[in-house]
Amino acid sequence: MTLKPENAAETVDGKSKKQLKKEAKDAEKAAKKEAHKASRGAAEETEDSGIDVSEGKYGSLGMIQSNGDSQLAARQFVHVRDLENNKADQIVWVRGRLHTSRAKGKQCFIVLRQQEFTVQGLLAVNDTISKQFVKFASNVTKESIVDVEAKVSKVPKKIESCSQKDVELHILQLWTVSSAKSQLPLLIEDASRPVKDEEEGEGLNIRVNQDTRLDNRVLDLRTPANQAIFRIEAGVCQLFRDILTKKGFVEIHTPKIISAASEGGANVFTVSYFKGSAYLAQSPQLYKQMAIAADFDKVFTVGAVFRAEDSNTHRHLTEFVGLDLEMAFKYHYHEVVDTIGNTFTEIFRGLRDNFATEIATVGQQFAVEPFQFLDPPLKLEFPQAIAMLREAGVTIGDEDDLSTPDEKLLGRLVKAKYNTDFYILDKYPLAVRPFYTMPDPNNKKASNSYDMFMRGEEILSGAQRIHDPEFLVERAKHHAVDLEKIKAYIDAFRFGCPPHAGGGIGMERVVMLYLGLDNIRKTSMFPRDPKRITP
Amino acid sequence: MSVCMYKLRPIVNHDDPLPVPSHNMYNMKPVQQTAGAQGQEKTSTSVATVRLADLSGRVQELIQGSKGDMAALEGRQEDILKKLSKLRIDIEELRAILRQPSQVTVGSLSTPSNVTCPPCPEIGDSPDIVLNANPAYPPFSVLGLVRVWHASCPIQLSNHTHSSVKEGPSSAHTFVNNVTGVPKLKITLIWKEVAETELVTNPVKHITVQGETNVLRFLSRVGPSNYAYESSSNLSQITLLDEVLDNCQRLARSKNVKEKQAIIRTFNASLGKNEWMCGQPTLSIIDTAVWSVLKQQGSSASLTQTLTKWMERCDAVLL
Repeated sequence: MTLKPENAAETVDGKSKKQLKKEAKDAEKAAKKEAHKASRGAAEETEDSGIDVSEGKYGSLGMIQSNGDSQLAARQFVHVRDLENNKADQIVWVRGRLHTSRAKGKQCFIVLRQQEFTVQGLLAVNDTISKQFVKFASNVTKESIVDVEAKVSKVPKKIESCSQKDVELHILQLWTVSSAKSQLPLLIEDASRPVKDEEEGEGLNIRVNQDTRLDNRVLDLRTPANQAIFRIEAGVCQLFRDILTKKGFVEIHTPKIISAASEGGANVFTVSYFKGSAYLAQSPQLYKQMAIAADFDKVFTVGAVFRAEDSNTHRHLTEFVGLDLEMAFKYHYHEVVDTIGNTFTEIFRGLRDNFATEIATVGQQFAVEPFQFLDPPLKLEFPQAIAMLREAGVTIGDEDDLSTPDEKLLGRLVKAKYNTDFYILDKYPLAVRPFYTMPDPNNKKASNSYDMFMRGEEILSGAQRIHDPEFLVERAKHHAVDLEKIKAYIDAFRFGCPPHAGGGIGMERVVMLYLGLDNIRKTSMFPRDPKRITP
Repeated sequence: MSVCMYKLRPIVNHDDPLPVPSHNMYNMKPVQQTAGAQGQEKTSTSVATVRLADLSGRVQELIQGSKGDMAALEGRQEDILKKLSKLRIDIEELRAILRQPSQVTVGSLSTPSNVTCPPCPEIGDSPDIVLNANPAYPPFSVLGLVRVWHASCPIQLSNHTHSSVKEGPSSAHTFVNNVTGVPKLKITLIWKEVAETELVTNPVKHITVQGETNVLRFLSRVGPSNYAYESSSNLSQITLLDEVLDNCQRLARSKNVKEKQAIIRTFNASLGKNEWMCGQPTLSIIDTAVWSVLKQQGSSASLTQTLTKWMERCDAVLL
């Protein structure tokens, strides 16, 4: 609601009593108006003209309580997506949201939206459509859900503003199912406006900032790009499951409440657990490995992972969905690396082939380069990466871990040379990996461990794990890890365990990097970070 | 010169004694003596005979004493040879450090049968090169070279399919070569949507090499010396070979059937009645280039009998 602009000439500093009173009065007036407007149905519109020829063709359906009206049940609905040329001249029912409405004298144009699909609707006063009907249509609030009966008709000129460009709806009936508040915290139109780097001068360039979006996530999620992003995310998860199941993996579920920190030890959330306390799992790794020791051979798990890291970056969340896998191998851990690499390639190929329209939709709002990959994936060894970085002028030691800028640069170098956004970096230095990493038999300083990268950002970190309890104790001592705390972990290997390796990825991060988005909050439906636990 | 048109009087008369100014500061003995120096000459010959006698005496002495010293002499010779070979190794190392391709010394040190690859400054420490190739036109020439160079210049070859294409060519599985030991060169072949074959060595320092024949030119410089057609001293021959290579490029780019046939005719002319292209004694880079581009044309190119036979010869060696 708008307040009258302050009369600056009268009062110099602060607001006078009179003015405050006036403001309060204005506010009251506006609120009254609002309430009045909302309470008024379609019927009261009759007062300004005579007979309403369209009576019974419009109005509110009231709250649908499933009362079994056979007349309503007989309505056959068509999805907006299916409104094409072949439906021309048919009379259809459509349920959608009122995206926009624009009244122009005796006409009213509306845009109906169902998910990311939009279609134009037209209402003009004639012998069957009354003035009141048109007025009612123009007063329906944006984002309200409406049922529309209309005749599909071809248009001579393509409608560029809608996803269904070839047809429009000539409305016969219009019923509101659920009406939205008249004032929205953000407009879908603004939220789905393409992100451009430079001000182009033409038209409005209103943007909705990230926090407003996240505070009103329900509205924000209605944008075409968000509809597409979360369908792609579902695709990633489903492809991961399908591909691994086909490869003979078994899906397992691991506990999320644990008694001790699983990975490294730091950064766990403590929760009260009856009289004591417990932790939230920050990795299902131990349980995956126990499943391997229990002869499941190949396992994967999809589940929430918690990290109590107080880092407010574009790529960290405190809760995310982990896609983890672990696999026993025969003689060489490259069997596992190749399996994981191949899984990624198949996921990328599945996305490229099955989600082309969704990817294009996201591309319309966030213009990014399409993801490129190689089949089979590119595999580089750590020393090669170091050599590439040195050639580019980075000073780095043989046993140094890669810093985030180095990783980014390496990603760009690899992209320039090998044309791939995804690659595997093998044989990390032993010194920078956790104690359970198997050392390389040929090179004391290297280890049987690997990282995988997408667009220069690490998405998976994995290794051949030590499966021999004595050697594990030795390595743990070398790293000064408290043996008492990892007793359960070591004990898991005391009854014989096949050699195994594995790794885990963050689903949100993979989707973000696949689409080339700049913030992980865009790919988490309700993101959790150090500063946000609502909604 | 009995008949002469003009008669010239001598400018300087050597017979007349030159007048010496009386007030000269330094007196010099005449350098050239014309006459009256017989006596002096006699004394010099006598000195020579004395020296000669002295030398023969020494030789006699040496021959007599040599029986004992022979072993010592041999030892000294051995020492010198050792020093020389050490020097040679040092120089080799130095060259490796400086990474200078020195054809001349390599040629003079090694016999022609012992073919080596010169070190390549473009490639540097990491001999990883990337080839982007369109699956519609597989670079058979590179595959052929990998096959024929397997002993002199082992190349590791692997191939990947880029996301811009659905799948690699049907012959993709042949573009693999595993090397036992350290490969001289690692080629990563990527099937990609590109207009023509590209070679990437180091994107930071170098631009890409475009076109299959240019890739071959690059490989001929880094590969074994007997395939380096540019190292020949016969400049006209090199130009001739370059022209055939350019024709390969033209054929690859040509979209016109008439033009294609004309280019294939030039190949026929280059082959003539010889066993290999341009009368080369053995299979050369040129053969691989022409063979590859004709293979890419497939059945659309109509070949003469000699060309077909030559193609079969190439198939036998290169595939």
